[in-house]
Formats: sequence, C-alpha cells, structure tokens
Amino acid sequence: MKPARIGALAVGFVMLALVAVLVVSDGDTDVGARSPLLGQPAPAIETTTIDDQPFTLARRKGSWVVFNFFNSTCVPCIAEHPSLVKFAEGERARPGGAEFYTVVNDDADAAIRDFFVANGGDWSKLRDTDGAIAVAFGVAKVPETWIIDPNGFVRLRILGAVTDGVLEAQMARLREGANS
Amino acid sequence: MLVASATAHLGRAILLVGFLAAFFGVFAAAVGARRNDRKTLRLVPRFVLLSTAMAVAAFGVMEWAMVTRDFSLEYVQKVGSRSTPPLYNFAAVWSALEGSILMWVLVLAGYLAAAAWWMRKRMNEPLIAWAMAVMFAVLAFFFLLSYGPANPFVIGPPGVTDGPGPNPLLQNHILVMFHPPILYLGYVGMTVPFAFAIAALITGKVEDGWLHLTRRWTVAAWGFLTFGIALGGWWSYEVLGWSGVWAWDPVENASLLPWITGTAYIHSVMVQERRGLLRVWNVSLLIATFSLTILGTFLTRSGVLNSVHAFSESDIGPWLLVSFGVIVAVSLVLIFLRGDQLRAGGSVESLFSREGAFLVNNVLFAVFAFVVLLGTVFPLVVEAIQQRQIVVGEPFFDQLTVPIGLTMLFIMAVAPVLPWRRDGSETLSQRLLGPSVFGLACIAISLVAGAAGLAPLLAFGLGGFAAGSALRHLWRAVRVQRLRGFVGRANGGMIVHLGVILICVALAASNSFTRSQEIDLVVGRVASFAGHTFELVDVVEQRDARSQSVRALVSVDGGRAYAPSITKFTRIGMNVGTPSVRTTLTHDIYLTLEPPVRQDSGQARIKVFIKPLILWLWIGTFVMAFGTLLAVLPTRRRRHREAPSIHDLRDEAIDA
Amino acid sequence: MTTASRRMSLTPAARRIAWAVVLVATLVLLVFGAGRNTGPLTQQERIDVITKRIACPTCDGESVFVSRASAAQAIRAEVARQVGDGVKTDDEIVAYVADRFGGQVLLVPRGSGIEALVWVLPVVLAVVLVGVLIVLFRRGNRGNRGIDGESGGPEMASTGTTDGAPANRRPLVITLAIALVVGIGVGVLVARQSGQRLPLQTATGGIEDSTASLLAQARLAGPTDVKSAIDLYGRVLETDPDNVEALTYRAWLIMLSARQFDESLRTQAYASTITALGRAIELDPAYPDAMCFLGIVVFRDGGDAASASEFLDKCIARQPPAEVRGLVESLRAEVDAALGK
Repeated sequence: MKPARIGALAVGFVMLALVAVLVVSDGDTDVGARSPLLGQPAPAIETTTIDDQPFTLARRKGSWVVFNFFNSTCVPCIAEHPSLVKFAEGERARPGGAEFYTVVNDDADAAIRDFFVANGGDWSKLRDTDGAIAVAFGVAKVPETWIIDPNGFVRLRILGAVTDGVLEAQMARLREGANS
Repeated sequence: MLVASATAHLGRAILLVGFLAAFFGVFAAAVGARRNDRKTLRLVPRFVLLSTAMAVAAFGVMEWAMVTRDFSLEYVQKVGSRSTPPLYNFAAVWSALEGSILMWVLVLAGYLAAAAWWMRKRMNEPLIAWAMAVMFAVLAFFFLLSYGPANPFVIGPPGVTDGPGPNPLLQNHILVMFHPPILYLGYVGMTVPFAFAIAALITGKVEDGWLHLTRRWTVAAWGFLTFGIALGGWWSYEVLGWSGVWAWDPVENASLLPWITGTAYIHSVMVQERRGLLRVWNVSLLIATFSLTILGTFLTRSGVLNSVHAFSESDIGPWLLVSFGVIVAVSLVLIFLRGDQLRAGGSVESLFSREGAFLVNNVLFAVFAFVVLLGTVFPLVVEAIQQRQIVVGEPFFDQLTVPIGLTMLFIMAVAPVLPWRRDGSETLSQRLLGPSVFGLACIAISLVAGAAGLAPLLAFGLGGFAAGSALRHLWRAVRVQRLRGFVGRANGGMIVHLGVILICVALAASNSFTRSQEIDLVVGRVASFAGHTFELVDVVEQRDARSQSVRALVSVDGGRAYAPSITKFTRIGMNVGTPSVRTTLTHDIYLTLEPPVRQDSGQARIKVFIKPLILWLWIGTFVMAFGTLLAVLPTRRRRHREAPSIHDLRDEAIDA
Repeated sequence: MTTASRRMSLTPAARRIAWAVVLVATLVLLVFGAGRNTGPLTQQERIDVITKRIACPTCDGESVFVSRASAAQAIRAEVARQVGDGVKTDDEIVAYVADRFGGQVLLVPRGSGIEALVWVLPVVLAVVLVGVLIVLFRRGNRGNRGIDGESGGPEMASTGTTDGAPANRRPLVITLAIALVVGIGVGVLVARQSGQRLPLQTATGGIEDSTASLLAQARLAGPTDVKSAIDLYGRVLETDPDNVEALTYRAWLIMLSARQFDESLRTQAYASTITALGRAIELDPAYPDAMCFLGIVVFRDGGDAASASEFLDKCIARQPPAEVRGLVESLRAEVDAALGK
C-alpha cells in the first residue's frame, strides 16, 4: 500500500484508540474516598483550638473522632454545615458518641468565630498553622470529613460536602463493624 | 423584564443569523465550486459580509453589556463587577469560556473576511471557493458553539446588582489585555492555510500554487502564535510569583502543540517549494496544526484533565471532541484518497544536503510534538485504564525536550550552510569553522562567568555555533544586497533564528543557575544574599473598593525600593501575591512577599530569586517578532503572486 | 564566491587541524564544566528542588513549586519545616508527602509498569524515525551505484515501478524491526534512569515513627491480648520513658491483670500502678485517662472512696474520651453509694 495510505490508517487507528479511551472509562461511586492513611494510625496531631486550648489527637483514644476540614468561604462547606450540626448534636446525645472537631483550613480565627456564631455549632475548632494538619492527612481541597476510630486508626475519608444522614449512616456502619 | 433581557435576546439572535450566514455560505461556496457556477459564487462575498458583521455585532453586544455592567446576563454576573477598572472590565469578556469562544468567532470571521477580500478577484476559482467553504464550515461550527453550549447570553437570576469580577490573577497586569487576543490571532489564523490545504486535496490541485498563496498567512499566524505564547510566559513571570516562565501545564502545552507543527511546516514547506517533495507530509502538518488547536481547546476547556470523568459532564467537551474527530476523519479520508496524486517525482540525494537537513528537522519536530502530546494526554489514558490518577509534569518534559532542543540548535547551525541537491559535507567543514570557534568562545566565556553542568554548557556552545552560522548568512546577504539583505524569507528567517537562540540560551541559564533564598527582613537591618543587599524600608497597607494589599518596600543594593505585595480581593476571598522585579541585562532580582504578614510589626519575610539572563528572553522574543515581520515583507514588487520570487530563491542562493 | 574563497583560504589540511583543535578544546571545556558542582547552595534552593518533584494535588499537573494554590502553599510550608529540621533526605521528604496525598503527587512518572510507556514511546518513535531515514538514504545510495541509471537517492514518491517489489521492502522492514528493538531497549534505559524511584507505598505498616506505631499496635492488642499490649507499652517506655499514654495504659493493664492473682502480687501491682499514674499526671496534668484510671484503681483496689470521688470529678472535668468516660460513669453510682450519698 502506498505510504500515504499507511500513514493515514495508522493515524486514524491511534485517534480512534484515544477517543475510545476517553469515552469508555467509568467512574466509581463509593462514599468513602481513597487515601493511603485508611486503616493506618492517624497522624499525631498537636495543636490548639481557636480559644487557645491545647488539643492532642492521641489523647482522644477511646472515642470516635470526626475531623471536618473547613473554610468559611468555601461554598460546599457552607452548604453542608446544617447536616454537620445535626450530626454533632446527635452524637453528643448518645453515650460513646463521636467527638466532632472542625479543622480550620487557611482561614482567620475571627472569620471562623463569626461563621459559627451565625450558623450554630459549638464544638471545638482547631487551628492549623501553615496547613500542617491538612498536609499530614493529605487534604488538598475542603470540605473533607475524616472518621478515626477509638484505637486511633483512620477509618473513613469523605471528599466534598455531606448531606443529611450520610455521616450517621457511616458511623452506624463503622460501629457495627467494630462490634462484630 | 423586557428591557433587561433585550440584550440577551438580541445577542442570541445575532449569533443565530451569523450561524445561518456561515452555514449557507458553506453551501454557496461548495456548490458553486463543484458546479463552477458563477452566480452561486457571487453569493459568497455577501455571506462573508453578513457573517462577519454578525460576529462583530455579537462581540460588540457582549462588550456593551460588560461595559455598562448589565447584570441581567449571567456571564456579566460571573465575571463583571462595578469595582473593576474599565480596562480590566473590557478584558473580562474573554476571561471565561463563553466569552473566549465569542472572541474565537470574532477573530475567525475577521480572517474569513480578510481572506475573502484578498482573494476577491479570484473567487471563481474552485480552489479558492472550496477554501471559503471550509472556512465557512469552521465558522459555522463556532457560531453554533456560541449559540448552544457556550452561550454567553444566558439570562441570569434577577436582582443581582454586582459581581465578583474576573479572576484576580487577571486584574493586576496590563498584559491580560493582549495575551489572549494575540494568541487567538495565531491559533485561529491557522484555519486559513488549513482551509487551503483541504481545498487543494478536494480539488486535486496538485501544483503548489495554493502554497505560495498562503505562505505569508501561515508565517503571520505563526508569528502571532509565537508572540502570544511568549506573552503568556511573560505574564506568568510578572504575575504568578513562582519566578518562572513555563510550567508545562496542559493549557500551555495546548498552545505549544500547534506551534511545534506550525514551525515544522514553515521549514518543511521550503523543500516543497524548491523540489516539490514532501507534499503529503506538509499537508498533514497543516491539518495537524489546525486539529491540534481544536484538540488543545478540548483538553483545556472540557475539564477532562482534572478527571477523565469530568469530560462527560461538561457541556462543551463532547462538541469539541466530536468536531476534532470529524476534522481528523475527513482529513484522513482525503489524504487516503488523494494523497498519492500529490506526489511528484524526485528524491533527496544526500543526508548532507539542505533537503536532508530538513528531513532530520521534521523528525525532530515530530518527536517534540509527540513528547508534548503524550505527556499531556498520558494521565487520561492511565486513569481510564487503571482508575488511578497520575501526573506528568515538568521533570518529564524537561528531561525529554532538552536533548531535542540541543539537537535543534545544532541543525539550526548546520542547515543554512548546506547546499540544495548535493552532498555538502565538504562545504560544511569550510563554512562552519568560524561559527564553531564562536561557539567554543561562548562556552569559554560562560565557564569564566561561573557556569557549570553539561546541558547548559552544551546549550551555550551550540547556541553560539548556531548564532555564528546565522550571522554568517546575514553578513553575506548584506554584503551583496546592502539593507535589502535583511528582508525576505531567508534573511528574516535567520533573524528569527537569532531570536530563538537568545531564548534558548536565556532559558538554559535561568533554569540551571537560579539562586534563591528566603530572608526574614527587619526594618533597619540589612541582609545580603548572592552579592546584593536587601533592606526593609517599610511595610505599608493599602485599601480600595475591591481589595486590600500589604506591600513590603525593600531597598535593593541601597537603591530604590521594590514592593512585592500580597493582595486580598475582598469579594472573592482570594489572596494573590504579586512579585516585584529588578531587571538588568545580566540577571533579574525577583522578590516575593511570603505570608503571613504581620502589619505594623516592622518585619517581613521575602523570597529572593536571582535569575540570570531573563531579560534576554524578551529581547529574543522581539527579535523573533521583528524577524518574522522582515520575512513576510516582499523583497521586490512582483507581478505574479503564485511563483516564488526570483529574489526569494536568490536569498537562498547566497549560499549555493 | 571569489570574495569568499579569498577570505577563508585555508588549505584542507589546515582546516582539518583547525577543526580538530576546536573539537578537542570544546570537549575539554565541557568535561571541565560538567564536573563542577551545581547542587543547591541554600536551604531555599533545596526546598525548591524538592517542591519541583511534588505535584500540587488540586492543580493540573503543576508542581508545588509553581502552584499558588493553598494546598500547594501548605505542602511548601511542610517541606520547608522538614528541610529546616535537617533530619530527612530529599527522597524521604517527598515520600512523606506522597504517603499522605497518594502516589498521584509524584510528579515524575515511574520507570516501570504502565507509566514507563511515557518514557519509552518517544524514544522508540525517535529511533524508528531515524532508522527509516537511514534506510531511505542507504537504499538511495545503493541505487546510485548505477542499477537503474537514473539519479539515485531514496524515492520519496513511490512511482509504483520498482518500489512496490517486496525485495526492495525487506531492508525497510528489517531496519524497522531492529529500530523497534533498539528503541524499546534505549527507552527502558531512559525510563529506569529518569523515572520515579520511590515505591508506591514506602511503609507497609504504620506510617509514623516507631513510638506511634508501637502505641497503635498496643492499642489494637489492648483488651484482648493484654500481655502483648503490656509488652508493647513497655517497649515504648524503653525509648521514651516520659510517654504519658504508655505509662498510663501499661499501669492500667497491669492492674487489670493483677486482679486475678494473689494478694501480694496485687498489692505490688497496686503500688506500682499508683506510682506510674501519679507520674503520668505529673508529666501531663491535663491528660484525662490517667486521672480517671487513678480514680477507678484507688476505689476498686485501694478501697478509698473519698479520694476516688475527688479523682473522678477531676477526671470528668478533663473531658475523657468516650470509653474511659463510660467506665467512670458506670462506677460513679457505686462510689457515691460507698460515700453514703
């Protein structure tokens, strides 16, 4: 065959392959996202709350701990806030309930205080100077929610905003798994 | 509200009329060309006029809405703001997707009109008519995009009285005005030679008349593309604050790919003009250049690179991908059917001839384009196959393109002195001795200046070698033709080469020999680094309607103060750092202010970059632009537009 | 032309010598220059080198060095911190970030597996194209030696007369095959040389240092395998005698096990537990678990309800974690009863 035709066919084949690759691929739909930290001990976190109280994650062993990485100007964070308030109140009411913490991501104390005064939620908000906690967890974009079990192991990572009931369901699933 | 939505409806109506004009223009030109029907072909200029007028009108309506802050439009709500200065507000139109597509329509219509005007006396020829048809088709597609998925005239929710304005990164440097339009003049300009290439394939007009017709268009579009890419690098340097000019990110790669194939075409086409060889290859290069502009737009606008799954969720992605597929499919079919008719007799006798050098050049550029395309697209492929995300970044591209670049510098030195049609190895050793001594001197000088490392030294040496060769050509041309020795394709090309060499040398120096340090400055104390002193004079705060900024006034070497700053755009809540640069011929001192800044503390942490030879990047760019201008200037007034001028051939004969 | 030949009137021999001199001098200078040190000289330059190897997790392939995103700034700050500490090597710092953000932040594609294709394919293309060029020119030159009689050179146009014949195509196919093999070989070499060498997972077990990992294992072993837990806590204390968690939980677990044994052992355990818990409280007065266990132990094994009540109150004030709080609350009623409330 003439070289021009060979060339045309070869290029055509490669293009078809490229388009096929783009069209055929499929995404996954789990709630939990991947992370190298899943099933590993949580990173050692030592920081202060925005009220200057010390906080050490290792000291919370014995409780389920939920970290929510948050920024007061991020739209999905604002959207998911009522669901978080509901979840935190539910957990506070039950014995052995999870401790809920907000990790402040690249935001000022004053803005955080104002937001929580206006929108409710009276759990501890933790400072994250220079984003060290975010880097320790591998958090690139807010909001993210992490669940750590009473033994200090990371069990779940949720990317993006949560809706009503999602966290409750996940906590129930994890507790059931722990008991069995 | 009727009044508020009038603009939106007017805009869309204009777009619809424009689309119809272009759509029917396709048929008028194609049918007229096929049947050789003059009456139908007489409609073509009218459709050109109508579609161009509509394009200008649509863009005008958009600008009017933006300038008058008409917040009834969703697009103005997205990128307009009452507190943006007028200049940046005007440029805000092309700061997001929909406005960019509208600008594409405008530029394309402008090129269509220019081409139609230039060819107005020859509109009856099938080749020209088919080229018009192809251009109408592309214009119709973009009108359709602007009418449909990328609609800028969507009516937004009512009651909005202000917006956030364009991205803050697009608001603090005047270059934002010029970089996208110039880049589009280059990008979109490649449609014209593409249209003629397709027309040549369709009509089977195997002679090279169309080549000579479009040569200046291609070089001009290429020149705009080059300048636009360089402006992007300048903007990156002046605004982004990481002190570099090129990051190999997908948006940059998308603009580089058509540039690579375009440059390959400009060189390879000389073989076709001289010897009639490589016709199929050159047509393929032109088609590839245009296709890559569409593919590049697809890659950057569809969100497919963030995640391959975002692609199917975007509005415009599937359209662009399908159009890319159609263009490639049609072109491949045409080449398949007609390719062999383009072939002529003749052959390349020796590797050491000018033709041989251009063949090697083609190989180099093909590999270069492949590297950039593969690196950009590879994460998609891996994600689709293995469901995990990988990144292919700067280290990969640097590693593979540096050897290609060095080889190109070598070819740049060797090719201009090679003769056509015969083996020139003997002439090489004769003519290149001087340039090689020059290259050696460059290495020696750079060693004295403290350079180290194999790759940069090779770059300096080969750069000197190539510069010597180009200067040799220019010297001989000027000796024979005096001032005219600077004008014309070959001589202008040598000046462009000089510009390229300056850029390569500057890139090599700044990539390899940048020094950096973070310094905590306190008012009253002098810090020093790399032979310069830095003293913090003051930390000042500035507020205006849309932002508040903290600036650190740093006196460099006891002289005037440079003020790197961090600006917080209050509406969007975004912090933008702005660097401050002291430029000299030998190096730039690049200062950035690091967060967190404590106001009224008399302290500031700055980062200092000492970047060698950066100014030469911009000097080289202007040399390239100047050389391109010289290359498209006519050498003498010519009667026949088709044949290459005897003077063009004479320029190349200087060395024969 | 005459003007030119008048200028450069070197004889061929002289020219050859001149070229030799130039080439040798160039080689010498290159070798000299290549050997010079070009590594990072300041801390910031080392940070820049490292951040150029890490991809910003929220951008399109920009490195952390380039990107202005907040995630990139956070990673830059972390890298700066670790470079400032001066303990880890460049690879270790990159691995630290990759272990948390996933392998996707490794900016350099791997040299093995499917990722190596991105290195191999361009090299293969380059070698194959060069091979094609060589074959075309070689074939042309062979033709030049008077077989067809026409001017030789590789036929860029297949006129269909001689080139269609299979005999003429064989050298091309062979060369292509050789070029393919050579290309793949060189490509793999390039991939190995330039590709990412960090393994996908640098830790098979815990990511943290050994103390944290021991604590984690001990915690997991905890209630079911008390002996191992006590051993693990003991090992932590060997390297870090002031580790409050290890002190507290080791003492607590010892007390729990000692309850099964005879009197003397129990008394001994009680004394050492009180000491250890006291020490833990002294080291970290805010640590709730130590105070809570002290209250429980003092009540259960020491019989002192009054002190126990005081300790338990302090424990609750320090907001103990849920499990410990559960233990305390279930004990509360008994303590109150013992005090006669």
